[in-house]
Amino acid sequence: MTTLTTSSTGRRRVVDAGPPKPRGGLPGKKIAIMGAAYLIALIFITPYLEMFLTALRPVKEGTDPTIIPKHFEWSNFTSVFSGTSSFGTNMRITLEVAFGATFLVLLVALPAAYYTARKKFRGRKAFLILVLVTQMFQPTAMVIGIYGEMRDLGLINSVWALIMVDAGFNLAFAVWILSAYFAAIPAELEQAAMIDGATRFGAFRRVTIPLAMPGIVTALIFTFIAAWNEFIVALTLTTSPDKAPLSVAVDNYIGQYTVDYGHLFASTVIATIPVIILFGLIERKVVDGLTAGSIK
Amino acid sequence: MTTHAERGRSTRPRPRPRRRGSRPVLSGLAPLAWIGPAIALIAFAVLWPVVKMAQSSTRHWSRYGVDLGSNGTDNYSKLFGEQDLSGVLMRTGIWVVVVVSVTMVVSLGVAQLFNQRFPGRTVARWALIAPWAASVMMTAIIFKYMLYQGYGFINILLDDVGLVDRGSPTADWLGHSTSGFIWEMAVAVFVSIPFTSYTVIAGLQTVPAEVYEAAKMDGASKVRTYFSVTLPMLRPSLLVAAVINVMNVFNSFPIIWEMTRGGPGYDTSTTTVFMWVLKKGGHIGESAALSVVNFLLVIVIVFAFLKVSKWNSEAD
Amino acid sequence: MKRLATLAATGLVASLALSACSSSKSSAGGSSTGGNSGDSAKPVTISLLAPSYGSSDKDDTKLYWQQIINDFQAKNPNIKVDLQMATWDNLATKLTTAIQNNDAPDLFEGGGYADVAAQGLLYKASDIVSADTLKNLIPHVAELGQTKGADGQQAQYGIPFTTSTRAFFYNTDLFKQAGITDAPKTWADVAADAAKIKALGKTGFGLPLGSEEAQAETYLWTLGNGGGYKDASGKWAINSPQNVETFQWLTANLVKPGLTESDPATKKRTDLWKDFASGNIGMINGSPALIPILKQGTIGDNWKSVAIPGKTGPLSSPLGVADFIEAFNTKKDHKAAVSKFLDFALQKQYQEQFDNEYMLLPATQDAATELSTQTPSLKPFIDALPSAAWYPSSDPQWDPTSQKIKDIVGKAVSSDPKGVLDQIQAVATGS
Repeated sequence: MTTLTTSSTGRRRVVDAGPPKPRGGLPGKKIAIMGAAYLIALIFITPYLEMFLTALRPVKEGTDPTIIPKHFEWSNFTSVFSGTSSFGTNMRITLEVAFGATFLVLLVALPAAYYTARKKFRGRKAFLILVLVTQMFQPTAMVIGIYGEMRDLGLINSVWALIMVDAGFNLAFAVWILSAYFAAIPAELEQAAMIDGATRFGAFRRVTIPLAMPGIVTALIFTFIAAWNEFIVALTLTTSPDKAPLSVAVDNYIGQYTVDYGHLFASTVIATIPVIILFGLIERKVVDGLTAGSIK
Repeated sequence: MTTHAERGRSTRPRPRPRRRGSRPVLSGLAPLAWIGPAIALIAFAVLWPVVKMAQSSTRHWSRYGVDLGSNGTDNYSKLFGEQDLSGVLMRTGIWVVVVVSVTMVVSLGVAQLFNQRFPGRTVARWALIAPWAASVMMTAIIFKYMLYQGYGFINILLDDVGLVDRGSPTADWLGHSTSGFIWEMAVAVFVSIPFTSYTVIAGLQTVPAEVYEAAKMDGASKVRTYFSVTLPMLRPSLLVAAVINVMNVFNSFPIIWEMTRGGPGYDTSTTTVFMWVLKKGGHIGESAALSVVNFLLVIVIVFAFLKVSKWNSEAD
Repeated sequence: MKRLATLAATGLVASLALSACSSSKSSAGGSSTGGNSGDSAKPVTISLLAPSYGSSDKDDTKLYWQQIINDFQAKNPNIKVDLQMATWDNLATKLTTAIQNNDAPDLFEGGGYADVAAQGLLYKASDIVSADTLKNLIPHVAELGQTKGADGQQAQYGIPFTTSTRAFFYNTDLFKQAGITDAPKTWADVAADAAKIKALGKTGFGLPLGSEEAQAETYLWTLGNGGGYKDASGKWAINSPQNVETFQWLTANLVKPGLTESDPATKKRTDLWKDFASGNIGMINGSPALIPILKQGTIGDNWKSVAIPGKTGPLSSPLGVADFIEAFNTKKDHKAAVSKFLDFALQKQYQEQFDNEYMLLPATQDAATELSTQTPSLKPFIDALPSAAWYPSSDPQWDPTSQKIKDIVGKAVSSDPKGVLDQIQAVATGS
């Protein structure tokens, strides 16, 4: 019981954020904030709305100077799934790679970040620098070596290869951000929980993890999105677009003589929606859950 | 071995209960158990390929990748002999500085705004995330599409408000190296803002409310509170965001590639794009050499940046 | 401490589990891609890396090859063909990555045979296809596949797969509106007609000198001035006076007066073809592959194609382009299977099927003869094949040179043409 109390006070202390709530803020100011936020939101969504509209645009209207097409060709959205298209397979591979890489990153990064945040051990700094350095490489420069490794392991066209490489590439960010969050959480909170009888792991799980949630979620989303959209490694490690994730398969619509913008953008829109939904789910749960009532 | 742990502990501000039952032998191996998997993954997915890359920069390759033996530093001297290299390096500098600084400043504002409570905030945040969720390659392609002379969405819009004739040579934004590069930087900022803002928003939430209350009691103005209280407290998340942005922007490839292919000529190429151009042209060794140079550059930039921002001051 | 160890152990076990999964997967995959030795009765898997000529699910070249492979495998149950596809943009990179790792596919369709042949990685055509198939290749095109092998001897290594020729397309509707009655025959005609079309508010001539296909556009124009990439003696002559003059003329008469789209140096062929199909461009150089795009566009049937205008008259030898198949000799035990598959794939019916799908031209004589009668719109292009001028693709320097042209030749119409062409020449001569 005491543990719970401690952790909940601890949570409030650290997470409650922002200036204190002004009682009955000015409606004019609120409207201005709303207006500005909506405008920015609109700007950020515009290219994707245009993508959606272009996906509906018939080929014949391809160069018409109109923002809204005269006719809507919904078939681009349905035919992406039909006939000879490998969209289903591509989507499955993308999902497997993104979830797999995210899981692997958390599995590997959580202990590493926690340990480096809590302990000063020999080689700690070297480790952190090593991690930072890995983020500095351009994947395009490394595909030759990666291809060789995966070929030797027989992992060409395997999602495992993509999971491992994507996890490796994004591990650095996860370790860094998690380590920063863990370091910001006072060790006393855990110690208090442990005095109250919690195990170290229990303290970690019930005290540290919830407090570091914004960091965990950021790391999680960062990895997930990077893996979801990764192109160059997936292109190298798959032998054909129908065995590749969406990012590579979609590229196939850019042909030698024409670009099939309808299908290119339709499949991109479809491929982006799951990420936004996932983000929406997590964002609401975490941000709102942790900051309820504390933000002006 | 215990001393390491002890020393680490001793920097903690408050005294803590004495550790129970420490085992010196185990604790020596403990770091490996915690960080070992991370090191293994990094070694496999990053370090080995990097070794291969560095090796290949000292080999003589045929056009399609047949290894013709070692050629020492030939690739490097060829690379530094490229007449376009100096322009490419300068452009890379501009690219990183402009994109990262604009991204950081805009993101601070956006984060502040989206941290306010207002009706529909959740939906607005979803919209904000779109450029991050979508692939950068596809975002670059849609921007290129929107910038088409004559019928691109942006040109139609600019035409409607009377700024630019959509069919005029000016409207051929990506046709000129200067306007093309500016648009590419704008797109790079556009795709970097969501992640940066989100990191700042997450940072804002770790600022304890007491700090604001204290500032308010001291009678500090809102602007002052922001600069003297909020910003310093945001420092860790800003640092993370800035460092990540420097690295990502430096290594950014798809935006320039999809929008102008680094052209006309190499006039919108950064080192990362030029590396790919060299590879496509069959200069594999030279391209690998540029990868190595590219890496050294980013390492210098990042550590210089960390030094300037006194990253270590707290850790040590 | 115990708990720490537990947590760490959990991580380790999980990562071990992951690697266990991956290795079990690898052994499963290994058996299908096969490292077969010697025994010809044993099943063998050969690989084919090919580009896609289409841009949608329906015209994906994957379907074309898959059908051939299915037919072939039905007849040869012991041979499996592993089809690998890439977009044109990524094709060379994929091949390069594979070769760098000593993992070349058995068969590659595309270009660039000269470099790998010189390194001794290819079978001679005569060693890998039957005499009948070899005889059936269009002689002039087959000759193009000749290059120096690792032994220093000239021999045919590239096996032509598909060809195409270029022609000059114009929008008959716009020509009528502009009051132009005859198709242009000379450069001066092109400039005059382009000016009239510009007066209609359209683009006169589409000049794609961007990084995509500039090597074709450059060749077409320089040929029109008696220039080209090599001189009569076979030496690189990219910065020849004729070529420099060509770009000076283009700059002064088409680009500067605004008769082309703005900034030709950045324009892609795909975009300009689309614009031409929408009726926004009066004239453009194209290949038969443009025809299906025109059918989809608003231009419909309001176009004609004629011989490409030169400085003083139409080109007698239009540009021909050929894509080749290369057979890699890295896996010796695949030879018999590769040979069988090549003979099978180069049959008349498949050649025709390919050409009808993409409006490209065949590489074999029997298909050429039959297509000329079956598909009348292809006939003028097929007839032009024997007299066509080709890229100097049998020179190993051609590939890097071609890429350099794509990279920078566009600047020749905005800055000093001589300087730009000198740079390209330097790449070609390897200096």
